[in-house]
Amino acid sequence: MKKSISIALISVAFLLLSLDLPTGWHIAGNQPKKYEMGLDKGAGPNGKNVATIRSIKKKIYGFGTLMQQSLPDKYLGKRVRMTGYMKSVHVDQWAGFWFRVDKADTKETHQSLSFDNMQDRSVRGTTDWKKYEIVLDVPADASSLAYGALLAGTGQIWFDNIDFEIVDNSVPTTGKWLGSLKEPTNLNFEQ
Amino acid sequence: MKRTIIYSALLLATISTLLSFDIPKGWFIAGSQPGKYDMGIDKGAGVNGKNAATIKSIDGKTGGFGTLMQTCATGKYLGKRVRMTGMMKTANVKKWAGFWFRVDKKGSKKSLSFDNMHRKHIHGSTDWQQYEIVLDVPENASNLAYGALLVGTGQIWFDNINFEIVGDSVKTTGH
Repeated sequence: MKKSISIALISVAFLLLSLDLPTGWHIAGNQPKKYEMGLDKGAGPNGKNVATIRSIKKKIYGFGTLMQQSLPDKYLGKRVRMTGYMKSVHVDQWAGFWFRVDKADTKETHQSLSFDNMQDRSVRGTTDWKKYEIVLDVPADASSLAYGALLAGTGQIWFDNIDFEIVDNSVPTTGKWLGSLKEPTNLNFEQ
Repeated sequence: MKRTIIYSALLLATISTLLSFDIPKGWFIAGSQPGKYDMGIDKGAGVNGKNAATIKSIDGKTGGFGTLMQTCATGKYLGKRVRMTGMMKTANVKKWAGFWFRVDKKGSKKSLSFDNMHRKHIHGSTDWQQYEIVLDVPENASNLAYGALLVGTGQIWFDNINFEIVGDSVKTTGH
């Protein structure tokens, strides 16, 4: 009895969404309603599923992201490379993958230990399927990983085959290290 | 709890990607509503035309606070009494603002000493002024945390933060 009600409710939800949300992923950003985000079935290079983010307004100040969070577990104390494939059409501002390592600071606040959103090497305009990577250190006291793809402004992106692997210290990191300092630093904000 | 983490996470992602101000090196954004504030370097807005840091509310109404902060090891301050000084200027601060300084112990959720100047109640529009906080850094402390915070709406600029060891004749200001 309960099962058929759940099925009915999920079916209704699917009817109302134009794109299915891939399992384990959720929508975010500071303008999530200006985008359609989810699975684009069969739009991948080999006819497989890919995820997509598509703007539905003509002008957008902000961004949408399809993201996931997970526990760091086997990545604690390691250097991690996130790779993924992305394709874009008419991206007027920028797009990319992003990856962040967090540590729970207090009940209310959250501290970011390392972060990279590819803003210095972003995806723009119309580009074909290409592999991108982000390399970050995951400290031993990290509490969660967050990652996804984002589209800022208008256009559409497709992304697929995201992967995480542990690499050794010979691979340079790509992001910003935000961890604890030895002593008070840059107290006059000149840097 | 999970929802709070997701919310904070996406707010941090938002801030990191679309800030109008650059985040100063070694500093990071936090607070109970970090997404409601623009924070970072305001070039040339400092006391002598050099850089200052700023925190500016985005919406017309904000419940909560934003802070630009830094954490570091106790280093030479371990077991000492420390005075933090800094210059601050405010514009249309509806609730209050100030510097804050905290001494933490690893593994403990409770801080060892703390002062956020809320009794000083800096608010409204005030010109550049120097403020100070004096705290003891106990022998079992593991790190220091400090910064400036803005509660509610308005804008603050702060600059020339300094830390120095002082003698026991200087009174502490916090708890």
